[in-house]
This record gives sequence, structure tokens and C-alpha cells, in this order.
Amino acid sequence: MPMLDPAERSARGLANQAKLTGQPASEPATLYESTWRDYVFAEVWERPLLERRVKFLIAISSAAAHQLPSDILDDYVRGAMTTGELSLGELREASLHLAVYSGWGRGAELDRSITRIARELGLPQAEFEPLRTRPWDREQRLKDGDAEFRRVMVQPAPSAQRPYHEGGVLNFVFAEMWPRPKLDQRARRWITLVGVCEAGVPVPIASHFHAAMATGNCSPDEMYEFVLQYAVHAGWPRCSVLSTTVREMAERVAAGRPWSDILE
Amino acid sequence: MTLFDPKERTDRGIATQTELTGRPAPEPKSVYQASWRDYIFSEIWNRPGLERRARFLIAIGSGAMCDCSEQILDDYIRGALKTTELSLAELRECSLHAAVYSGWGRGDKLDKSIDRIEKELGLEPCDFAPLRAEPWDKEQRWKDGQDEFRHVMTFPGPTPEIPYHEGGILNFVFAEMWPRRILDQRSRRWITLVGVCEAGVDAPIQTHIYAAMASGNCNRQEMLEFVLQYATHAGWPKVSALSHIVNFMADKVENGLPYGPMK
Repeated sequence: MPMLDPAERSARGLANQAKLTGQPASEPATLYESTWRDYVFAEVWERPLLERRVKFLIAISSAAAHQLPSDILDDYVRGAMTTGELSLGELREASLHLAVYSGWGRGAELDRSITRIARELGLPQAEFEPLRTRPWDREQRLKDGDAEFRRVMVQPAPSAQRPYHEGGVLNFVFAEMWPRPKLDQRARRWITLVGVCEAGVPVPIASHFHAAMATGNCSPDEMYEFVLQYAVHAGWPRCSVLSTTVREMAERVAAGRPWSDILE
Repeated sequence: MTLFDPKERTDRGIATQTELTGRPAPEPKSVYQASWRDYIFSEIWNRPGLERRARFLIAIGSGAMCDCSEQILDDYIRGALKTTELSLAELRECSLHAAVYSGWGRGDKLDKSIDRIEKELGLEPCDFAPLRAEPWDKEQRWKDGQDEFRHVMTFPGPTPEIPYHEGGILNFVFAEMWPRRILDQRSRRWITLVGVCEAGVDAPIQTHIYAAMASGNCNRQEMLEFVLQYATHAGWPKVSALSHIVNFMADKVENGLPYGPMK
């Protein structure tokens, strides 16, 4: 069995840290700083299953949703852009997606970070599609929301009776946000998963874990890996039962069953 | 019946606040500010059930993990250093411990606060032992994690199957962080308890409250006292069910029973 080498670990961590934050990594001055290099960048980011683009989406969403220090968010946003893993246009879509799943104020933090880094890197403004350019019919908008909800959540959509559903979930979240083409469904999925885990409410955690796998956006193994990646940003206690939820929902998806018995 | 004296309460508050924040207590300009002096410092910090070192660890852990101002965290760090309840090297271990139990970014807040106070007090920065100095075997690292897990949690650890356990709990949290002896197990326990309570997930709250007492790190009275002090940092609603869990787990521990969840 080959022995693993601490010097190699630190060298790999320093190289990854520089590359993934888009700026030179300095020698750590404290124990805590050294663990960014030797654990987070040397080991967690090196794990093979999830591609870098996904790790950036998880890291960026977590930093914004959990209100982590702005320079940590800035580092991930810069790294996502300088490695080419996420474009400016995609990141702007991510701000809106995060606002929906974690509240508009958290979306603001991400949007401001993107503005800071775009300026720092001298990037031109990314054009964005307005939410809607043509006149629309109220019923049709709700119907569009219903259809997109089914595509994303793989279950019947709620009826448009309560304000939460009518004026929120159908009218905006699924009629106008999820179908926006500039950010693909798999990418939106990771931001959503961070949002539901940060909120810590069991029902959306279960239904979104189920939908993530039922759509084919991610495999059970990728979901298990998500739990570890998220734990690094959110702390282990918050994630302690999430792997169990992955297992339960993966079993339901494999058996062609919905996320909850109440839907059967 | 002996009556207590408000002036005595305030005087004690000023003295305690000055000592524990390492700077002169400001004259309060609002009822909120007065409550720091007359309630938090005068009464909570003078309760006998926990020693000051433990209270500093709870306060500093909460200051890093719950959303509070940098000023509040800085005051506790300055106080812990000036009263010598915690050394600079111990505080640097706390940053990493908070990172694990509340997310890496939360460790940053604490580490930066220590940087500021280190500079303010003109302290010499301390060296730290690297995570791992010798070459290692992958399997052995997991095994080290399992051994330390059992030592800390008092029941067997997980196997390295899912990423959360393999790449996190075993590989790092228990193989590399908990065994760092610069900060003792009882001290790490208070930061851990703040982290699990802050995350608000029932299962780890229950296992960690059990383990804190089953390991002998603290007893029932100390855990109940922890609940009150944590409430002052996190707010009462978050803490409302904790005393009940403490008593349930203390009954088990005092009767030599293994861990089992409270339904």
C-alpha cells in the first residue's frame, strides 16, 4: 500500500486553492487557514465524482445562503469565472435562483459579489433576458407554471388556490424562473438543494431530493457526494441525516414511487 | 427575607463586564445595553454551575456560529486572553473546531477576530502543529477516525461507505481534528454542543448531549447550565426543548444505559 505524503497534500492544496479562487494562495498563518489548503482544497475539491462546475454551484450557493463572509463568496465567484466553469450570464441566473430558494436578500449578496468580481476582472456586462417580453394571459401563466412544475418536480403541481402557490410557486418560480434557458436544469438543481437544506424543513428536502434523482438530473451517488460537499460549507451537524434521506428517496425513485405515501 | 440591591447588581455587572471583555465597561445608553451589564454579565456569568473557561467557550462558539456582531466576538476573545482562561493556541484550535461544526466560513469569523485581538494586545503569533506531519495509509486514517469517534461519542463510529462519513466524519473530523490535544476534549465539547444546537437537527443534538455526559466530559447540572447560557446567545425559542433532552440523556448515562433516541 503506497503511503500518502503530507508535502504532496499541501502542494496540491496550494495549487488548487490558487486555481479555484483565481488568485495567488499565500502560505497559511494559522491552523484554520492551513485546513483550507490541506483539507478543503487538497482533498474535498479533488474528489472525483462531481465535476468542478457542480462543486462551484454548491460552494457559491452555500456561501450566499449561509451568509458567509463576502470574501469567501468572492473567491468562489472569481474562481468559477477564471476557470470558465460558470459564465457571467449563468452566475446572474444563479442569483435569481438563489433569491427564490433562500430569500431575495441572499440573492442580493450573490449578485453584488458577481458585480465586484466582474469589475475586478474587467468583464463587460452580461445581457439578460427580461422575465417576460410579450403580453400574457393570467390563466396561461398559471398553466405554464403547472407544466414546468411537473417537468422539474416529477409530481402533480399544486392548484392555484392559496397565495403561496398561485402568486409564488406557479406564477413566478415555475412559470418564469425555472424555464429560463441560460442556466440548465442540472445546474439549477444544486442551488435548489442548497436552498432547501439551508431552510432545514424536512418536506421540501425530501421532495427535492426525490425530484433531483427522478428527473435524471443527478444519480444517487452524486447526491451522496453532494451531502459531503455541502457539509464542508454548512457544518456536519446540519447534514447528519441527509444521507439517510438520499437513500430513502433513491429507493423510492428506483421503485417508481413518489416522494411521499400521501401522493400514492 | 433578604432583599437584593440593584446598585450592587449594577456594580457587579460593571466589574464583571470590564474583566470579561478586557476593556472598561461603557455606560449603557439604552435598556438593551443595560441588560448586558445587569443581566448577562452581572447574573449569567456569575452563576456557579460552570467555570469561566467553559462559559468563554460557549460564548465564543456562539459568537462565531450564531449571527452576532464582530464587536461582541472580539470582546469575548479579548476577555478570554486577558483573563488567561484560553490561550492563543487554544483559540486557534477553536476556529477549526467551529469550522467543522458550523461550516468552514464560520471558522473564518472567529479566526479573523483572533487576528484582530492578537494585534491589539501585541501578542506574538503562535505556531501550530500541521494536520499531519508523517506519511499515512488511507485505511489507517479511517481506522484512526473510527477509534477517535468511539472515544468521543462513546459508541461505534460509521464505516467509510458514503462520502459524508468516509471523506468527512472519519477522514477529517475524527481522524485529524478531534485528536489534536492542544485543546482538550471537554473544551471541544462546548463548541460542538453550540454547533449542533445551532444546526437545529434533532439526531445530532441528542447523540452529542448523550456523548458529552457519557464521556465524563460534563455532568447533568453542567449541561443544564449550558442550556441557559446558550439561550442568552441563541435566543430562548431555539433552546426550548434542550433541557428536556439533557434530562432524558442524563437518566440514561447515570443508569449506565447505552445511547437511545428520545422519541
